[in-house]
Amino acid sequence: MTEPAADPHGLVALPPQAAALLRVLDSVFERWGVQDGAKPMIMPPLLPVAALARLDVYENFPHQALVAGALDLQRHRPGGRPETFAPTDVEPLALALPSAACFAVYLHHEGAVLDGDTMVTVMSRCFRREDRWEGLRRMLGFHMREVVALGSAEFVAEHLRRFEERIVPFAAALGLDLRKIPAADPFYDRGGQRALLARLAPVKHEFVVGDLAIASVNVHRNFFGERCGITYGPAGAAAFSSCAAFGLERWLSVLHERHGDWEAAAAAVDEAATVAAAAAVGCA
Amino acid sequence: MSGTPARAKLVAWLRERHPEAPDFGPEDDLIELRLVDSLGFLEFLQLIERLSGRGVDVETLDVDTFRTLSRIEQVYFTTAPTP
Repeated sequence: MTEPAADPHGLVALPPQAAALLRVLDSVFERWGVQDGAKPMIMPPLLPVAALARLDVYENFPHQALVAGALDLQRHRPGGRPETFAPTDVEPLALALPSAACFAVYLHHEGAVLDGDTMVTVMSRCFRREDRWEGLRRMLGFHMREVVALGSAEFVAEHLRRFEERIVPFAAALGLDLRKIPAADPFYDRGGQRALLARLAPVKHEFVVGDLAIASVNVHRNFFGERCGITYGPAGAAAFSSCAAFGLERWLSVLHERHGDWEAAAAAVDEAATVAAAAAVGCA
Repeated sequence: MSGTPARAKLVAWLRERHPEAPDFGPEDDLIELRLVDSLGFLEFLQLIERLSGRGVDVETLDVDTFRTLSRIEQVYFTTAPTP
């Protein structure tokens, strides 16, 4: 079976073999986090618009945003089979479909005084409006595994270093030609001040196969710590944070392309995961 | 925080932009602490240019030069500007 094609809305169903492989891949990435002390959590599927706005999500990523709300029952009339609802048909859109899994982690820790360096891993459905849809490469809703570190600047930097040391050999064992490149995320001002510091001191690096980013490592400095009032240490300083993120359907896409079918891709993942697990034991 | 007049002016600029920030010293990383962030970086460079009388070429600059007050002082304020 070939890779599924996207529909006009970017909504894609995974066939059984792809769904099984997604779970295997996810368990590999989750295990990497757990080995480092990450606590697995399950986050809510929607987040308040007001909360994401506090994190500048609508400043930096307005082009990806999707929001949700309930029907306005004062206006709604039963009957008919609407294909769309007008803005006047719905109550104010107070909820958002998150574009990344880690936002919920910072919001969950809002106001927290961390006992020490903290690590959390989550896998969430994430949603992004894209300018085009493309099979498993660009979908409206997809699965993202993230491993998030909160604490000292040194701890969160070390977290990304350890993950890079896993991602690179794992991709090589899968036969993927992986490149690490600095990336600029924010939507606005790409050529201006933000872009300048992003070029000089990158906060995001992507791991790319062909032209497709399948994972990223991101430093946030103390941005989320400040915005969410998350503190650590005796002085109560704003926590630093970083995250390693994996777009699971994108891994499926490049694996299917590299190995030709789901069976071969699954066999390659099994073998690479075994090698990675053995290496982890060897390091312990 | 004591130091040169230039350092005092840099600190005053940073304090004005980040009144909420905890105390910071000459060796603290201004970029990691986000006292100088992506939206204020060019203004910070312009302030250094104005105070030191030296130009900063954004095409060739090394960001590590601007990470700490002590490094900025060392590079921009301890020797005379090139005529």
